[in-house]
Amino acid sequence: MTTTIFFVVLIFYVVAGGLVARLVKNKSDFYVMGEKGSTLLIVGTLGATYLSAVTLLGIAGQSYAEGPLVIAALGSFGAWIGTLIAVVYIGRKMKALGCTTMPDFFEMRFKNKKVSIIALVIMIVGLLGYGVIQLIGAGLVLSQVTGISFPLMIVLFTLALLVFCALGGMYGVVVTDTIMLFTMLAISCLIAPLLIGQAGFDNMKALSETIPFYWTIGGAEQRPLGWSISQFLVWILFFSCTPALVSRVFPAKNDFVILKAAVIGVFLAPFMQVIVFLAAGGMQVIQPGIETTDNVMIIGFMNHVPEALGGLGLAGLMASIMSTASTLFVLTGFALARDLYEHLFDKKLSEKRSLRVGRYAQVLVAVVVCVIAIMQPAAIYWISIYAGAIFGVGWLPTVVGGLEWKRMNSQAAIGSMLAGTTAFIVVDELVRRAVITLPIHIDSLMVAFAVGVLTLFIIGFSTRPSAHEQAFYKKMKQTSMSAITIKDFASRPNGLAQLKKEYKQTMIISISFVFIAALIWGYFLMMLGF
Amino acid sequence: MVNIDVFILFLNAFLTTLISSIIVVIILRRKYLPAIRKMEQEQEKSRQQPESERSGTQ
Repeated sequence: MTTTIFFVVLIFYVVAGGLVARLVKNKSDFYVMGEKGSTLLIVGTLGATYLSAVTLLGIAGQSYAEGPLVIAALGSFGAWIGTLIAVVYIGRKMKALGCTTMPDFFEMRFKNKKVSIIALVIMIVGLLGYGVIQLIGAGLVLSQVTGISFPLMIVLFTLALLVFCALGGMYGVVVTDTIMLFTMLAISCLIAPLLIGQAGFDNMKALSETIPFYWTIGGAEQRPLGWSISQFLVWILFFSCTPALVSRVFPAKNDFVILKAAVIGVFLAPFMQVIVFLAAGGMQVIQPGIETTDNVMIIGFMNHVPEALGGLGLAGLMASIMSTASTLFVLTGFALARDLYEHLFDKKLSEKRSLRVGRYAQVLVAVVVCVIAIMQPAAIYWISIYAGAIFGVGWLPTVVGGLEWKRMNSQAAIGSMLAGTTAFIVVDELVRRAVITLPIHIDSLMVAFAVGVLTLFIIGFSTRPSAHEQAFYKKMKQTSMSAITIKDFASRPNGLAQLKKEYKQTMIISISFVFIAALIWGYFLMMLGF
Repeated sequence: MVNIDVFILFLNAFLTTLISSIIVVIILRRKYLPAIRKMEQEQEKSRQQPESERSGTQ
């Protein structure tokens, strides 16, 4: 049964991805889907990329074992706020500047090869390291459940990703992400509520009698509040500058699409996560004593809901793996083809050849990912410790400094990126080897971020920006997504009416979602909080 | 009595949407509303202009 579901779902996603590939006519379609992204598609890709297998496996397992509040109450809150910053602040500003990829910003802002190379290395290591390790982890679990051998599973996943990424580029990824989001939503709207219903709110609340501190932020392990607060800060740093989320904004049609996606997408982040964590808590009532806690949701799908819904749950898990992986890998391919080959090596390519190079890069990434995932070299585990969070320490100070600080220049960028990344690895390794001990409320990521920011200020104050940097800063301050959108609407026949319609629609969505959120979370508070 | 820890979880989940909505409403009112009003005034002016031109020639 599970094997059949696996193949049916995979074929469905591949066919959808293949059909979308026919829409890719030029370079702009391949990299930013011709900037035609509607609200539905941008919300779809944002939501699907946000929800990774980590939620359904690792954190769900932790919620089952220690209590649903341990990560959700503060750590995940940081991730939700980080997502908002990524979309509404960094993504929106970069799109206004005409960035197609995030390295475009470094290229435009500093016009300095060293800065571009360091930014690119951080991007490739970060995306590949984080993406491959997620693929390995989720692939191992899925292989156990379906009985399909792990290498075959990885090859099949890679082939599917090749269809989305190499043929469809950003078009393929955004459309398949949107389809996948609906499968993931089935988990939050149908399957998880069913598990919660089976467990019963009263029985779930009573868990704190058998497992002390189950319904506290510290959880059954009684983690100190300082740890939870540090998780909140770490997840903000982690999410606010990650290319997987920031770049979801680039294909958007206009500013209204971004603003609507910010409200709906950011609403979906807790909606998709918290209900799953609560269901994982419910599993403690339905089936206590699960030892491999990472599998708790899969056990819930397979044994405690009707068969068809269980299959849908498994499809949702596959979607969470593939949507995050496709985004991470398509961006790595873009970095290789566009930012490294075309820009840094200064290759002037025709439209057709550029598209071909973009596709070759996707094939190369797929082969590398497949080989690393199957071979599982020890180095990948080491890289993965730092890969996901590297953007928070390596990029975030430079990006914010680049966007907001007049004195920001290439030397400060180089210093900050190198110091932040090095400090992160050195401090974390020293802690890991028990050479030093950090206070419980301080994470190595926070230390490294502080080092990065400090370095940026010291170098920034002791050097001067170049003429290009000064001119670009001035130009940047006069550029905004709202101005571009207003100009675009004003140039259309009947533009004012369209602008007013979009304004009204965005306002209604913003206000409506506040009420929807109040209703949903108010209901859960009434059921579990009193 | 309310469980404060549970309250914090759902408050944060609600705050996420509230903050994003407030930011979007501020952007709409600060950036788009003045532009819409300006465009409306211009449209009104250009509508009045042909009318006065017509009344001048007749």
